[in-house]
Amino acid sequence: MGSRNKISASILLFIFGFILSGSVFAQRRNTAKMNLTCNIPAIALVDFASSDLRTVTYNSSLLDPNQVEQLVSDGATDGTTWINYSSIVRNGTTNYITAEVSSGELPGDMTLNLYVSPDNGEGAGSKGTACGQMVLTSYPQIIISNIGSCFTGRGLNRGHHLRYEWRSIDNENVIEKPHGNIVSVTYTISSTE
Amino acid sequence: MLGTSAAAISLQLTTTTAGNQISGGTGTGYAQVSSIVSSGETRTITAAVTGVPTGTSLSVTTTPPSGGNSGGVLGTGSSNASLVNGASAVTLVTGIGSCYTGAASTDGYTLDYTWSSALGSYGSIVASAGATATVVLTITNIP
Amino acid sequence: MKKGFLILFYSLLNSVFLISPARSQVSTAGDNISLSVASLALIETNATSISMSFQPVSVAGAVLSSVSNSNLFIKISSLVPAGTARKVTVKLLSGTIPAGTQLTIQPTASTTTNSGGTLGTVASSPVVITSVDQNLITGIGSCYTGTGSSDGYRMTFNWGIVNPSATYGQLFATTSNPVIVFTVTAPE
Repeated sequence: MGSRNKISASILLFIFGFILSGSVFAQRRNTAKMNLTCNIPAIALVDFASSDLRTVTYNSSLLDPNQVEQLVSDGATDGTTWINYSSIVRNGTTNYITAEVSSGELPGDMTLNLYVSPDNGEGAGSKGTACGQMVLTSYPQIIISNIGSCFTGRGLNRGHHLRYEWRSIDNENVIEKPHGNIVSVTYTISSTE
Repeated sequence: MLGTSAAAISLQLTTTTAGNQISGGTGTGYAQVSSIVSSGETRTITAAVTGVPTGTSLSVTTTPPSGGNSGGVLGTGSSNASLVNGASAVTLVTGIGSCYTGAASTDGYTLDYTWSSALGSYGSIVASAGATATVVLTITNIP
Repeated sequence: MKKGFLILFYSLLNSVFLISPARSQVSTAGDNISLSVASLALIETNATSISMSFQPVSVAGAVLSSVSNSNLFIKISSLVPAGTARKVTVKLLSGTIPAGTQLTIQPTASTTTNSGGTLGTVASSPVVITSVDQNLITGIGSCYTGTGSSDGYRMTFNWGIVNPSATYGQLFATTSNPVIVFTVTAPE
């Protein structure tokens, strides 16, 4: 036997099994939960839209009701005062608005009447029920009641229209030019809670 | 595989202006995904919700990630998908192939929630604190 | 499995001495002996197949992690002419490595328990397996690694995803059976 040729090679084969599995993923977690914490604070906000003189004070706590104040002078106000409000109530409670003469002196021989018209239909939700007509005194009286979660919209022609009228003490005659007293009427929104 | 941070997303509806509608409920969550599909398969992400408070509406805009932590076929998102209590699951993302989003809590698909008051049922809105709405996200196969 | 043989040739002739009682005389005779060592190369492994699979991720959003396997040993026996050396090369012979993935092999220097000779130098960094032969071990002279299942050059395979942000979309669930071939080359 002669010497073997110096070129020689051997080959080995490997077989690989590659496994890349998508179905394994489907068996594992394929759902996830996102929790959203939803807060809706109770609110009771009131404001005027008016060209008449007015002062506005706000209080953010429901314990101290929100108030606005309007100065009422000679004669009836023209038809330019609207009361706007936004309200979110807790279950089983409602908000209401009272009005009172808060400063100035009511003359003894005259009455001050307030006319509150129904909500004008803008906004959305459970608007309050207007009293129609009320003789204002220095004690708060409810002029809009049973306000649920709602908003009237903001500005003129939104919410309830307010009109004042001075009358003689027997409430018969309208007085066009009263004595010149200026009184302040304060409107307060409160909760039945 | 689908995952998300356990922390709740906080939303609030209110106003400080008399006469105005309550508004302002926005918040963002993230969903992380790792996916390996079979050839020709795509996946979708759907959402179903419970616990949305009465008189309110929830919608979500979903955007696939595009940053350096993600890769592969991440699919197409959607805008303002409406989430209604008890409704059948709504599709948020389609066309997901093999992909990954990164595993950090701010990696992944961005879910921008919009929570608003519904005009038609505004009177039924009730003040509440801490009510929880739960969105269940599911990644499914489309063979 | 083919086996070769180490073959030695030699011949020996007996010599006969004649002793003459009359005179002291020594005669000698000799023969040419031809000893021939054949060039030889034999290669074998301790396993014929390797199975690798990606593990599912445990955290949503994560990339598949690479997997590795170091169970394979390559054993060789080699004889070379003076001044020459062999190499061990590797390539993909048939089948495919799944799209979006990469298979590399990192050889380790031979075990020393049962080995001897010029065992060569292993590649210093992992070799990416392609359909083209690439060097795993060079400078192999005459040597042997031993025949036990844990003798020889240990091979570490690594199967992973390169540049996932660009290629992850090419991954699909699949089972693939590529055939890898190791070759011991002719001496040069």
